[in-house]
Amino acid sequence: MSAASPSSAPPDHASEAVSVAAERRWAYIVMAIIAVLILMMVFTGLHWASMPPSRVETVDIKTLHIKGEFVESNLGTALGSDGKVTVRLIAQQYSFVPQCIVVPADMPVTFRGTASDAIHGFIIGRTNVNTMLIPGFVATFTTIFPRAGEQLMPCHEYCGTGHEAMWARVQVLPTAEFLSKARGGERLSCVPS
Amino acid sequence: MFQAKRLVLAHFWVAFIAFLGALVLGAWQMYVRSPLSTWVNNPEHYYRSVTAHGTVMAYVLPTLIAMGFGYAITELALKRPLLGVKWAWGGFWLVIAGTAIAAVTMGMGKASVLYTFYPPMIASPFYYLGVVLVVVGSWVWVALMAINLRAWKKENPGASVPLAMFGNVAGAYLWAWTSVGAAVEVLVLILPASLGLTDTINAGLARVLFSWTLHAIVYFWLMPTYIVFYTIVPRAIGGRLYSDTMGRVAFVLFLVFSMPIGIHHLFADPQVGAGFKFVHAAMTAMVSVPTLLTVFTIVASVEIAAKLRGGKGLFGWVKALPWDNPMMLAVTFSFIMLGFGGAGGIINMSYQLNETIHNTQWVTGHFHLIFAGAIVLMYFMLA
Repeated sequence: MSAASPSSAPPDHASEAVSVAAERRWAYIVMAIIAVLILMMVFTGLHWASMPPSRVETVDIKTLHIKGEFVESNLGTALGSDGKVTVRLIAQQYSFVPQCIVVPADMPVTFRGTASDAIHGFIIGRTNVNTMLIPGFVATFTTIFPRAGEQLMPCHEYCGTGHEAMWARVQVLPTAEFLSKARGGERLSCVPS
Repeated sequence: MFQAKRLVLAHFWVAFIAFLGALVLGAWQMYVRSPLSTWVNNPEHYYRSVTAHGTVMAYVLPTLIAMGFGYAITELALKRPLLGVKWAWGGFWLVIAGTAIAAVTMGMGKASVLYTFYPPMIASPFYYLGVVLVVVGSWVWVALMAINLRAWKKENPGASVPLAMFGNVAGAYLWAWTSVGAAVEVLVLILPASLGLTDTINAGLARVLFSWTLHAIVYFWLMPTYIVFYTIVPRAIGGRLYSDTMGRVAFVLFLVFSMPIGIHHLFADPQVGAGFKFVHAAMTAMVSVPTLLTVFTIVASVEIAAKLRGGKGLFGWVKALPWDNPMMLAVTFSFIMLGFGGAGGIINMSYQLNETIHNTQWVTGHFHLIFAGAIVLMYFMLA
């Protein structure tokens, strides 16, 4: 603090003590704010299991369309034998496959997606669904759609000149309607089967 | 006498006002139907312009300001001539050459990849070369700042480094370390692909390397602004700095905490695991500490100025401030926008809330508040 006192301010020990105390008080308040923020992140992360999708999983980009999980016939929404709903999708310049995704309301839905050319990403309407799709990596996350209805799903990472026109739609169906359509384990999209 | 003057004028006024409205509508119809407006809505031109806007705002403007301000601080705060003026001119011309090469490439539409240039999108190699030259030019500045500080220390053993130079050299070292991420990305991953030497690229690794630069670069942009807050503002408005030590603490905290935070840009990415994401979220919370300390110190310094001018009361001193002084107005606007931008930033860095705003216009709003509002405003003041 001694370096702080230029000649214009004569050393005044009483006021200096006050200013040092005020400064220290503020430093403690700042540390407390930061500690609360970090504790909130820890609490919601552990207690609500609320955290960013972080399952690091790779996929071979060269055989993406030919074999494995992301061949075209396996894209779309699947109701597994264990009752779990999985949506598999691919993003490419400048569309999503499938272009229209069907999901149930009020059921956990797991998205598994990747990109085949550039970096893409998407956000679904007013939900918290928000992920990046990076070539060579599989993005996975699980969410629940609370309301039936149609939502827009734009690509939200600049992927080239056609980026602004890259959209998909998400149809959220009432649970019973979805379950009646999803029988037999076929891959669902908005295209009537 | 002309009896009906008002009546005649009423007719004419209404007629001509209606004529004016119809004229504007006619011109608008002509514009809409003509080919004059088509290029405005060309998406290729749009992204070309976004690339140029970002490249200038993120790389060219702040780098040149930081370099120029750094040279000024070296002479004015250390009170000795700048060593290596010829090298400094060399660095300047490297930045200019790089800017020109990148500008021509972008103008030709060969580099519409935005300033973040996320591969696998690939631009002409000349664009990356231009950006690399800008960065190499700034590395000359980094070296000169270190050399000049060293020479001053040799001449003044034991003396405390002037605060402006302290912050300036902290900013230079921050940039030296920060720029390595994007430099490695460009030299090791992107340029070989752009030159056709490799045919695949690890898009995830490239994003991680760029995130190393992408967030810490913000503090490189910020450093000149904070140096102005600490060393010029208190004097310009007739007060004194509340605490020199706090300034040094803030600069050192920026240097330390600006680095392990870039992954907060990648919370929604599949190539980074939960552990690193959480660590970077916590470190980003820590990097708000120097800003919160600065806000206290500078507001206290401003209060000192007001009290010296006879300001009284818990908040009444605000009225006594020199509001006709441009610096007073600038620092006020800068702080208001830093406040909004910083509050939004707390949401961005949050491990959970980020999911609601990732890649939305919220983020664009956030960094424009900080960059345009808080930072560039003070660039004009320091110049």
